[in-house]
Amino acid sequence: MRDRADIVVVGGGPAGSWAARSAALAGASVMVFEKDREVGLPVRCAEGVSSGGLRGLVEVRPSWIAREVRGAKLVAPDGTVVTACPGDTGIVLHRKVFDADLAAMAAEAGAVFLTKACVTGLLLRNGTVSGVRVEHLGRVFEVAAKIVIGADGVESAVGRWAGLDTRTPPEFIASCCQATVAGLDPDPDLAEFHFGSAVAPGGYAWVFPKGGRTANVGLGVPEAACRIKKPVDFLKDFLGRRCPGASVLTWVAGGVPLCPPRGDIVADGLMLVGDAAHQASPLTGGGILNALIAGRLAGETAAECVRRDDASKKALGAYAKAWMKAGGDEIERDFRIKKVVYGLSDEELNGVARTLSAIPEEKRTAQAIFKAGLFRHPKLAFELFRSYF
Amino acid sequence: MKQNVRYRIAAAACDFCGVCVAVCPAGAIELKESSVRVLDERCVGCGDCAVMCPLGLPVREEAE
Repeated sequence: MRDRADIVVVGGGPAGSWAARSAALAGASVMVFEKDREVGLPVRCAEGVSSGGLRGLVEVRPSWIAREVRGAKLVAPDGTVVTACPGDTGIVLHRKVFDADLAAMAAEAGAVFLTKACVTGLLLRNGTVSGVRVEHLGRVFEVAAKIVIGADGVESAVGRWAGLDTRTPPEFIASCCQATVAGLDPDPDLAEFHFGSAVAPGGYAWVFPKGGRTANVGLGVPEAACRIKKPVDFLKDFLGRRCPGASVLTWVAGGVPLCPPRGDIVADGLMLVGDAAHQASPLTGGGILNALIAGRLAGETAAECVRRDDASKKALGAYAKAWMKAGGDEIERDFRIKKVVYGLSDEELNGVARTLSAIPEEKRTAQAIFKAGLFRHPKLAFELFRSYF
Repeated sequence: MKQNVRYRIAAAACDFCGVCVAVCPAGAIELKESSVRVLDERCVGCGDCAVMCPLGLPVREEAE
């Protein structure tokens, strides 16, 4: 193992691999350390992503796709079902395969990966990040780097070690549980979203078909709900209602940052990307597309800064600016809508569902849904107006 | 740490998802691939980890 690289990436998820690939393609020497034994596992993800969004960022391989869905089925607290097909399709990924392929693509570009390699600290020189300390199979070693990219997820420690306040306070995180289930009959063409205080107060539950009789069944809830009941117990109740008798093949816990836009994602010698940089949508919790967008921006900026031999916070700030330009507005908008949507009472949600049911299905576009929400909820209308017009 | 209060996480039941680490205001939780530990000397006893854990694992202990 080499003891130095231009750029060290901490974490081999989509954000880390894509940053590594972009930096390597731009000519930098790159090493990636992943703490788990295998890139892509465990899958802490509902695995749903917009098809058009993903295809715009990377050439999608058939092996990544568990199921392509044509729309969504929204279920209100009183059971009212609204089907919506907004035009674009959705992909339910095999994240294990997807992540492994992104890592392989980064390796192909020249990045060197090491798994079961836990970064336990940063090396600092005159306040500037200058490398990492790694634990690997019982051995501890140091790797010097001009720039460290923290792609170490919602639990990111890298930013904190460099003096950034990367804490995700309880009000800005959804606590999630998911089961991959066999033996249920999901609509193979629709992703289900369930709302209401009985299922997931202040959040939502999902059923994403993965082909055949399998699906990811999970939910995410905010702090107030966690104080009522543990997310895992909300999920057990939901499983009992939605798919009694089905087999649970995989259990997984996780957290999704649902934060306002964050520009404070660089320090001297350090950049953050992906969940570590709070780049997931605060409305849906979806983070894959932004991880790829920001990963690429981070990798390219890092390589450029290595070339110019300037890893100062000011120089790396070009990445933070580019990210805010690419994703900041959308995060801001989603954050405002989230506050309204997840604040609706069961009665209000039922009302929205009834209004939507009255719209012919072929006309139920995202825009029509928002208009219906607007009609029933002046506050939602105000936020959406500010967001879209 | 707040006197007489500490938190314990049963590693045997833990999924190592990192939610506790994300919400901890004190950087008091050390997470590796398959280990988790509350560092008593840093813990401020706020209990955010216990509230937000998807499995509700962190347990508050009152010392003598």
